[in-house]
Amino acid sequence: MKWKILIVDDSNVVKAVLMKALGESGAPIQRVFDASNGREALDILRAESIDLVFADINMPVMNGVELVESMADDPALKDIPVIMISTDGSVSRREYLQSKGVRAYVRKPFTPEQIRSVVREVMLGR
Amino acid sequence: MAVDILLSSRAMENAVVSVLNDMAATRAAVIKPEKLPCFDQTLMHAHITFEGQSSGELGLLMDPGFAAELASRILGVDKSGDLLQEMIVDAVKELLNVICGQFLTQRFGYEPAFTLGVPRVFPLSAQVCNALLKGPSILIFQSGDFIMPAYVRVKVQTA
Repeated sequence: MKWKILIVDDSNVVKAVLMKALGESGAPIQRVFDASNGREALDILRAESIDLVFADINMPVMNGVELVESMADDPALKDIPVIMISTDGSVSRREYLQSKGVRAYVRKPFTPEQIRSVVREVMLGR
Repeated sequence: MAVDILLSSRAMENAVVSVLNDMAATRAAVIKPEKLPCFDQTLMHAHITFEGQSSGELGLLMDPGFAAELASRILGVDKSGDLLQEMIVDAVKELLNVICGQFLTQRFGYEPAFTLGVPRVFPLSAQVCNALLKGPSILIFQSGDFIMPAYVRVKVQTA
């Protein structure tokens, strides 16, 4: 089975770097979707069968925390694994996001090795 | 007050040096303010605000050529000339965003949660840059032939 992945970040640079890292990770990817904020992400999540979400926290319109809260409240979306990628180092915010179902948290700047490792951990349990 | 400024300056120095190295494989070091040249061309001004237990702002002033070089390194593109201006600006915004996150952790630790503003990048004339750099809380970084002034201002202790 190949995965459909959604990247949610308002930075085109982060999207490009993350897409490159995912491409080099060896993960079985069918297609990568992208959104610039939480609201766009919810539209895609409700229209497509997404297997994994990467999301930033600080975004305009709807931020990453609000996106995670909306997904947690939606029975159709609550089980989709989410990996947060953010500059935010706050332990309390990280714990809150994990309580809402976030599977992993990667702090920017990230390396391709970190992306490969976190994808394996979240999707394959190793 | 003087201790606060010193702590903020040190945190900013560490954040800028580590993020340039980690994101753009670029070495930078702080140089003495006396070595700051008088700029004669428009620079790119990147600015971000933060709010939380304290509020404040960070900024970088950089030569457009340095911005293009950093963007090409961040994106892993060989020639910076191939990059669209939009991608260069986006790369500078993201660089400052990450620097701000690192600065906040270095300065205030892992407990408090901060909200970052959306980074803005805009051109600033040489005249305005030179005037701005006469103010307090300025750090001067050198990377290769490029000089990159930066500033950090922690405005309000609201805790």
